[in-house]
Amino acid sequence: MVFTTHLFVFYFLPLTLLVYYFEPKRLRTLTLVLVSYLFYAWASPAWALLMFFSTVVDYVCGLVLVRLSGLPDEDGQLAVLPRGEPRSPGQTIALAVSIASNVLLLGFFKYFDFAVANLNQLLDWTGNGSHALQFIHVALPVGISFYTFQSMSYAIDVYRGDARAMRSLVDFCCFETLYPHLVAGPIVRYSVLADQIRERSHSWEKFARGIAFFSCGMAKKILIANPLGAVADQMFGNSGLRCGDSWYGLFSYSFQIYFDFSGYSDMAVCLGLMIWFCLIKNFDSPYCADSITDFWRRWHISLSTWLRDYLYVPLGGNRLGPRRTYVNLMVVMLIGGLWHGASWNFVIWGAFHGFMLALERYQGKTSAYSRLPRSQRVGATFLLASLAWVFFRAETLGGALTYLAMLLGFCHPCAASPVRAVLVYTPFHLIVFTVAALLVWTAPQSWDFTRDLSRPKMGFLLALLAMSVSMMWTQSSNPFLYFRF
Amino acid sequence: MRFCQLTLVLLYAVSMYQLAVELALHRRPRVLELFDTMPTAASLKTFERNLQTVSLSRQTIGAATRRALADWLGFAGSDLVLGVDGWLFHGPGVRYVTGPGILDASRQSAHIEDEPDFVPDPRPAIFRFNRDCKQAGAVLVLLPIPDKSMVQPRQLGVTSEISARPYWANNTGFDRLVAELRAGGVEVYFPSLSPAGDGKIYFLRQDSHWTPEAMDTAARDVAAMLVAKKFLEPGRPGAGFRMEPRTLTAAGDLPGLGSLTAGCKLYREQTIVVQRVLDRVTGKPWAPDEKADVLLLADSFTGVFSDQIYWGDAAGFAEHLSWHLGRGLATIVGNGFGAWKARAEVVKQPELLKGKRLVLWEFAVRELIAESWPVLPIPNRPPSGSGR
Repeated sequence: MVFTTHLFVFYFLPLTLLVYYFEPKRLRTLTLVLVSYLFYAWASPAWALLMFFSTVVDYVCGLVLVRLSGLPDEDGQLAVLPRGEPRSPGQTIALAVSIASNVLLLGFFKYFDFAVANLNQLLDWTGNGSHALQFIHVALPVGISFYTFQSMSYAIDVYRGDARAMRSLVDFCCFETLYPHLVAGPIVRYSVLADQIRERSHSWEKFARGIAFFSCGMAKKILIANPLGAVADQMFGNSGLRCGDSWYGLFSYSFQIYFDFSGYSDMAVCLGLMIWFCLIKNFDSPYCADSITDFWRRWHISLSTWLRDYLYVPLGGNRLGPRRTYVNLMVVMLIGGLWHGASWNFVIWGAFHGFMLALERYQGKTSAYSRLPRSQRVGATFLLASLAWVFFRAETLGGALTYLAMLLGFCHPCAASPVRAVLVYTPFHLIVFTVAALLVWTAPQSWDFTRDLSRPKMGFLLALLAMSVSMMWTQSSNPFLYFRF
Repeated sequence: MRFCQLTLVLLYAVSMYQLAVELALHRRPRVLELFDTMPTAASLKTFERNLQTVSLSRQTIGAATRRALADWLGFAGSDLVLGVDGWLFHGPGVRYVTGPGILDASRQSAHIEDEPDFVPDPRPAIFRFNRDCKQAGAVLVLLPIPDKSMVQPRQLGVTSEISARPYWANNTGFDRLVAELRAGGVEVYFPSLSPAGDGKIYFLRQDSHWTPEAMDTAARDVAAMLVAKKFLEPGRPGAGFRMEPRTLTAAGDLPGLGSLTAGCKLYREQTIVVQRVLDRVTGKPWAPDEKADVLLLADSFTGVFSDQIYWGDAAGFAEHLSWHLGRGLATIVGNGFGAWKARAEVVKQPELLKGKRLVLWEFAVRELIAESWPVLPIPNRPPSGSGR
């Protein structure tokens, strides 16, 4: 189910709130689990079974990790494993089972066909094309990249002694499936949610802030990301663009992906607050970054910190010398790229960012253009991030290279170019593009904006919500971009 | 607190209002349809779509928003493109011109997640249909009809490029597709309505279809081509029939796509004259002849002047083609048939091919991108030899 749909806004959400607020306290977590499964199963009921299987495996692994320690319960809760102490082989196996089950699940659904395609290519090159392997063409379960990463964080945190394992399966299901952030994040670690699952409380301030986040998120998605997405769609996938058009298309996509994803994250935070959960900040004005290192402190924060804590640090981080640090940065960003999708385009995107991070690390965590005034550093970082988006957005590697060529003016415009211009240079699109640029570089990010809700601000947010809903009713179905990851 | 209350009122009002109206009208609430069938991904998607479509709030507020956007900001949603001087264009048609090539790899993978059954490549379906027609003794001729945006670029708002050089914007993959189809033995005829943005009017102002004059020109061209290529013998144009002009005034099929209604700034009616084809003796309107040896499969480009929706009857492409050929035609025509439904009808009733020596398949060229192209084999073919 998508947050910005008629069904969700006017049926699912009101009904969920109605039941949640008026039922006995002890049933609330169970209700959340049930509605989360309903929310998830909406796209495909079979996927809910898959998620349940994954949940049970991680839950059992968590229990095994604690039981094998022989530690007694603490105040009716499972014991926390002591930090820094060696674990038994059984515990290591339990952790390995949890990680392997998630990695295999992700690998099978996301990367199997990609691996087959590359193997077949290899067989072809080596003259063994007749032994080509079969594709399975399996559909990618929505949100699998997010919930598998989240699951792994549970087992690792429990194993490290950073968190307490859950005794109740219902509580654990709530952590795994909580619908506000289930499909596209933010990737909330177990340690953030564990206490809130056990105990949380309502306040109207929290609820009001949730509504504010909802208005912001909905407006970002409906009023900005979707119209600019239509512009980007017109440009990407087509050859024969005029140079100016291709830049317009690229920046439209840069704005689209930011407003789309941060809009989703805002709505996730809102929906969490409405059911009394505090999620985490996922974006911090990323296009105001003045270097790529700074960009990754602000963009998809929950993923970058996950990769840092569960991949970069275990690989040695920066503790093993400069050369190893650069390698670690590259490896982490390559995996981060591949996490987004099974395609060489994502690998290249990750490699680009890894290279830039390593380069900036080499220069003492500053960019090559660090001597420029801040506004120019921000512009240069935006330009670099946007150029990398070409690989992220293009359907194929050839498409990405063609698009780069068009950006440089190397392609002859096709006859349809002036027709395309009629579609994408309407006053509406130009206004949305301008507003997007103004918001990106001048407006406060949602967490700051929703902190103090004055009366005029609330009026503005209500108007924004009404406008977004009206606009939603004029648009066709338009899922969030990160649903496909 | 007031802020929360107002928002909650908004969230609950839409569904409550819908429910109240449905109950007041003694209708079963649509939301209960969720429980009518065992839920599947497809049924849930359908339920969600229906729930949104019937929403009264959406219908009224959504339509008003769409009108406001069109009037003030020159944007009318994805289905409708606003041209200049009240000219309207069908969004999918314009996107056919500007979109990725028909055979581009990106198109082949674009639908996998949302519509796993969508078949983007038209070639296998066309080749198969061609082969089945041939085995039934009939020659298949494809008649893709150009999109309005290809023919009326000035009215769309395109300016400089048209006057500078011959203008015939088309999908970048069209030429390759046609070349491959022809190489595979498929006859394709693309009626050339506009030579080079000559400023003439070939399409209706607020309708996605052609003018009666352009349609008649195309019918005459097609008839001449069929004779020139010796698919048919020359006939006597208009034999047994006469033409009768009728003046009609309407807007067309496009304003509705943008919720533009009479009274809107952009809504314009247009008066046209259609030429009805009537039996010279009885005065009855032309009617298809099931026994004719030419079968016309067609969509709304054929039906637009004969289906009595906006633009009268008995004056469509089938009537005029029959007139110019001087012979009867069997037809399978329907609005919204696209390229798929008419073909599906033949597959469903293969006896429709019996005795046919020519199958003319007219469809809007945009369908090459907008529509799914599943291979539909014709099961029990009529005995060959019944045709040519």
